[in-house]
Amino acid sequence: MAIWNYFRGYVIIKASGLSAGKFINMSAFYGVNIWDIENDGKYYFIKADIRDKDELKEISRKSGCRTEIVAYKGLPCVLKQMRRKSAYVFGAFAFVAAIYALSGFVWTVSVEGNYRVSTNDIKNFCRQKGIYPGNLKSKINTELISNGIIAEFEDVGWAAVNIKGTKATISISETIPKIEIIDNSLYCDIISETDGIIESITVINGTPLVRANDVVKKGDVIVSGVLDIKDGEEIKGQKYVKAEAYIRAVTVHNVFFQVDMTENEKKYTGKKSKGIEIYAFEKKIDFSTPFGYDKFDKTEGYSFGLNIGEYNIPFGFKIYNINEYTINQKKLSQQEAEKKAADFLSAYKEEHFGMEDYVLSEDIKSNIKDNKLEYKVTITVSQTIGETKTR
Amino acid sequence: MPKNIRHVFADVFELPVEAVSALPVITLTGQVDMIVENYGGIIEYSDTRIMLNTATGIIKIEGIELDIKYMNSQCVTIKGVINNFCFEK
Repeated sequence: MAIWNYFRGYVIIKASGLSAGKFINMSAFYGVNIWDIENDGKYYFIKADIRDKDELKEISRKSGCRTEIVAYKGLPCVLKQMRRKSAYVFGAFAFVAAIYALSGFVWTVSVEGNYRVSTNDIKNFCRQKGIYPGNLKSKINTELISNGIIAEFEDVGWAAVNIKGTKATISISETIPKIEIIDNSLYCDIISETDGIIESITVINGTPLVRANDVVKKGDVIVSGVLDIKDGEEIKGQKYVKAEAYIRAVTVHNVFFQVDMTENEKKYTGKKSKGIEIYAFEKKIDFSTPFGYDKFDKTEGYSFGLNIGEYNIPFGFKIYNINEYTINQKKLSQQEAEKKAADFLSAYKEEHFGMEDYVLSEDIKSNIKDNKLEYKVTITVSQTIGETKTR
Repeated sequence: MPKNIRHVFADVFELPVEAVSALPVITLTGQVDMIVENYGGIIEYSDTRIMLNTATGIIKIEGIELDIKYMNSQCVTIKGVINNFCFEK
């Protein structure tokens, strides 16, 4: 009832005087619907249908009661007010239109069900095919893209693209991982990848050509992929296999490097400022380059940008913190230079030696020449060697 | 008690009494809502007391925060906490 009254519109009447009761009774008697009658001790406040306004005036006159319309309420009154405030109406329509227009685009893309295939790979593929934040939903052919994903990715057995609202969900199901098949029909040898002395050799397949304590050069064949078929001492034939072996050898590595004893040190002057960079699409207007600074560091302090879902609106700005500095030349002490050299050496070892390799000995010779620390290191390592080489 | 001709008529034809006479029909929902049909006007109205004129006399309703929610020529709806009501001659 209350909502119906709101849609039809109603008035709030203030009735006062001794005949206010008479006015209410007469209103009811003449068939005027009135509701929410409130009495604050002095006045009666009555709600009545907006269309009964004139009749209530007549009743008021007849009853001798003083009445006054204090408010017009309901939807017709709101619409009447709206007519005067056209900007509001326009804004409301523009809002509805914007919501309707924006709902026609894809704003977020999500991938589910993938384990081996990376989400980025799928998203990039879908981007090429038209599924990306900011593209029109009507332009997307989901069936074509689903089939495209299955054709493009070997590990995907099934794919489906669902667009609900403004979100595109790519659901995929991966196939069972393929077992790596080693082709044993390809015969090959194992050769030494470096100079060294064989420490131990365990052959799984093939003919060993060296023994422990033998010296090998880089490129020497250690295990041959040719197996001799013997009848006693007589060679009856040959069989070609894929050589497999686990070989350890002692190798020697000579490393030479220099550490400069002078170093450029950055020193901040304490002069600071802030700069702004405004961007729109690909264009950037940079106001962040300061005047009167010789050398400076620029770090991003705050950035402002709006986005709808995953789509970044290409307008915004960034505020940079700018700190001026000067370059001072600093002379390193021998200890500091040696520390740098030690860091360099450990980085070298990490790069060149594996987990199974271990250093047997390390001979370091260092001297300072022309303001530079020279490092000559001889590292003796026990390491696995051997690489396959097809014939 | 001598019967009104309308009551006799209602008895004979098995009609509801309120349909043939102007007797008030009172519908009370718990303590919070009362509908009085066939009333003859409001005599008094305040937060704590409402008096309605009917064919059988005055109905006095007492309670807290009483409010006339709706009224027309046939019925009146009263909301609030109704403590008691009685007929007065």
